[in-house]
Amino acid sequence: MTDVDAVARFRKAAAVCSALAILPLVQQLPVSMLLLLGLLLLYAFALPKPPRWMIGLIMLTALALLLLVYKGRFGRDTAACMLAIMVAMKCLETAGMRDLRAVMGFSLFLPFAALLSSQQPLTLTLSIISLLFWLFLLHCTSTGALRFPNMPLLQQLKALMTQMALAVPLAAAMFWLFPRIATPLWGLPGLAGQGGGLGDSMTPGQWLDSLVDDRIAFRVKFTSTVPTPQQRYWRGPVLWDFDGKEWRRRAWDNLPAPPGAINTSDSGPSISYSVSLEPTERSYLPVLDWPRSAQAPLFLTPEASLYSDKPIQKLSEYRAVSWPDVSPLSTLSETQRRRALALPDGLNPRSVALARRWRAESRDDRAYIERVLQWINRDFSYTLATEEPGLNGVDEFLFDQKQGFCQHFSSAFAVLMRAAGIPVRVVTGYAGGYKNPYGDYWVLYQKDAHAWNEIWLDSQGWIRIDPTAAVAPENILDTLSGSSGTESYFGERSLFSPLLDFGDFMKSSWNDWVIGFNAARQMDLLRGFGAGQLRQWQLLLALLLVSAMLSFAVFYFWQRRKTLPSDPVEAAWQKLMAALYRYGIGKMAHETATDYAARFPAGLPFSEALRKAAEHYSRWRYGLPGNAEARSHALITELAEVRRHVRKAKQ
Amino acid sequence: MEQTASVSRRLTEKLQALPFFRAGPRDPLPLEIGNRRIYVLPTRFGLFVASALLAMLLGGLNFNNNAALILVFLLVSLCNNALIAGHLALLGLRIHLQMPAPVFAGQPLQLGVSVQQKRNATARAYRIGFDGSGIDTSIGAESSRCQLSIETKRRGRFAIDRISIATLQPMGLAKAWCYANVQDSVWVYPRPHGRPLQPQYHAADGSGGRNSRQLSDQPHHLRDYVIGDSRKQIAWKASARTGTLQVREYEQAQAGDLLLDWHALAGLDTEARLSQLCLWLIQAEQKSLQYALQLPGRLIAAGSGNEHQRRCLEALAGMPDD
Repeated sequence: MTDVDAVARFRKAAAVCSALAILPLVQQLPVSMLLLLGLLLLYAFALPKPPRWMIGLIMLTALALLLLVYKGRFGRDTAACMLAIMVAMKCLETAGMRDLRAVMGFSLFLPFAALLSSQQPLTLTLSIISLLFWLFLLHCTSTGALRFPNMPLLQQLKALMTQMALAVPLAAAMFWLFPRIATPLWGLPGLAGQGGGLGDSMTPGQWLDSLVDDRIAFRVKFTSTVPTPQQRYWRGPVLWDFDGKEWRRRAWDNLPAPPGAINTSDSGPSISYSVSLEPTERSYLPVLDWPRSAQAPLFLTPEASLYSDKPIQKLSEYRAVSWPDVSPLSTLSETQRRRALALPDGLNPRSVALARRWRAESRDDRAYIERVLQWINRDFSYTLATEEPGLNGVDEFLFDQKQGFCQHFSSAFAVLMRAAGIPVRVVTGYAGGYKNPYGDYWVLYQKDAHAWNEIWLDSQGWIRIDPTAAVAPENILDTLSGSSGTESYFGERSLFSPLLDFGDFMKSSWNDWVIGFNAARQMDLLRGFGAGQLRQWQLLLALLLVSAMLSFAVFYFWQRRKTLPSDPVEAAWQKLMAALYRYGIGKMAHETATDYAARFPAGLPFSEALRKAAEHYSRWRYGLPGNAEARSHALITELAEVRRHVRKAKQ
Repeated sequence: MEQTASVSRRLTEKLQALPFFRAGPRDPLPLEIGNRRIYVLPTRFGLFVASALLAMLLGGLNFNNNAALILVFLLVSLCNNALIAGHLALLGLRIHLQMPAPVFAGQPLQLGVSVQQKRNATARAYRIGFDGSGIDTSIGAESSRCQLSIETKRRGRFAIDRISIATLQPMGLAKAWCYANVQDSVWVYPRPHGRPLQPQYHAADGSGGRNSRQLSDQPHHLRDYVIGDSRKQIAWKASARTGTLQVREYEQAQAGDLLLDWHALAGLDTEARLSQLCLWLIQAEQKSLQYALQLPGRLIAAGSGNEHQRRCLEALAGMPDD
């Protein structure tokens, strides 16, 4: 083999290794970057090593593209993409063992980076597939040269799987026993792109992407009674300030409520539940109306929304209790009142005028609200096909278009209330929920995102009003894809939903059992085995003991295992010898095959067949003339046949 | 201060007495490798992978990212099993050795090593080495032989204390090795070098070189005189009887017993003298001469044949340095 061939083989191995390592990242990388990586790896696979200046040029181009695609922001996803590019570049300049090993070492980080962002079973499966090839490559390079074994593919795969299977017990032991860190030492870098959560601001019409997003926002398990559909409002960010176009909350709104601001005493029936929240890259945590307390490190804001001081970057679980009937906020400060009544000057004049006129005509606030809701019920329809709002967006919606979705309704309703002197705010969150028929839990999708209002009545405190729900059912013009629109009780499920539900059930179990495992659960598990509160070093000691035991088990397994020779005829012959040994007459080391076969008395049912087989085997082994290929096949069947007879005779 | 120095010295001595650092007593052959003589340590690539795994482990623990931890633990477990597999690749290996034949300095010693794997074990590639010099041998189901070439630089007794049998398989992450204690030595003769042995040195008339002379002249038969024969060779009586000039023919045409004399090579240093004597010795043997060897304080009486040559060569090789 020439040198060029050897280098080409190194390049091919490196390219395949990194391509498989990039596979788990495929869901997370933008298409343009995937194309770039594909091209680089294809180049490495098919073409010889380019000159130095060219590698430099490609590197610069790739990095420039990276900056362009991520718009110059540097986050976790950008870093993963950059790592993938680096590995691909290393493949490009691979020329020998050193480079290949570098590629192999660094390519380990790619599945890891993928798993940091997504712990889905699919990502892990793809990672393990890449690991299998990595392992195969380790075997090929173990002696310091690249040598592909000349075994059938299936046999190799089997060997690799056996190896994996042998690694599982120890891996499982480490998973359960390795001391976990309860509080992270450093935070996870954020994403450069958008996360899946609700923002701190809302512009009517902007949620179209969200409302067609089939991804799961969170899953809920109710440990007490299940709330009625009217109670299923999951509050997220509460928005106070309106500038005519956009509703927003301020950074200082995300601070804990001062003590006493939230009434923590019991009041009527409560609902307890646990939520498993998908990463949002935001710090709110959806809770049912109304929570009264929070478990540290979570806290309640002055508007009784649940917040964390760090963004939610991975699947998070929390428990909460809600009292659906009465708001725990009994006072409205003067600042809050002013904020809840503020309107931008001079905007939406028609709406403001209408609100003032109607309020003057109404007996009290309640009657006025009733009138507005009736108007919505009579004249408005629900649709996702809306126009871009102009300067007086609320006027346009109320008097011209008369159709829209939750953002339009809640925004317009709030303007009508504020103009009439009723304190009001916009609440964003999720509404509805879908019970998975396979598991005892409820699912809320991104498309269940919703916006509604809360008004302040001095007699009753904050009251939730959902103007979108006031739309008459016959006026709902379209929701997306026959599935649920803003509120899931509007739509229907599709034909494939049983399959999807089951898939989600599996995923939820995965979340519960695998992803949700943490320091606290580890302690629970050990307590289940009768161990008390263990210290970390005790845990480590236990792990070492278990590891030693499992290692010895592997040692014992391998030592005892008899591998059959790779030649199939030889393997068949040895299987026959083993069967005869079990039968009671073993072959002695000095005996030839034919001498041994002759030792069997003629009375045995397989003696004759054995004699013939031994004769054929000797001929095959010592190369007497004949068509070796054809004979070996016949011989294998013959030996297997005799073995069957021997086993039958033994019984 | 002094105390710590002595402690550290004692510690070093203790350490060096461990079987890891020093060859133990000679092993009976064939040697079967047992559990207690196998060492396993990661290779450089293994350390690289280990540090990558450590980084991933820390990351996974910090973010409590269980999917990543599963991947890391699976990898750690695989590597752990690779160490075990490396150990098992050596366990039960039967080693036969064939000590090398003596060579002249500069030639490699050829140590025959045969490694026999346990029946039905997976074929592995082994690296047989002596002080870092290594050769690869791939070993199938049956016994496999190879020749380990050991470079020699100078004459003397060459000690082979132990050889190593190592394997990087199955994954190249760790090196498993064991030592076979040989505790034997082989003669390395001086490098033959210098002026060739010249025929005129051995002229029967004694006019030969200063450093070699005939010791005994045994007449063998007579032949006709040819111009150029020495007058001393003429057998006058026989010539008188036959009427033609007859010359005595000696047992070997040009030879008598040759004395290869150390003292005659004054002006050369020890090694050069030994090289010169060695060269002559070989040439004398090739020409089937009878030769004796005079070394300082030792004379090996004249003789010839392999045994005699061996004795002479060993005497040369064993000369003390200046």
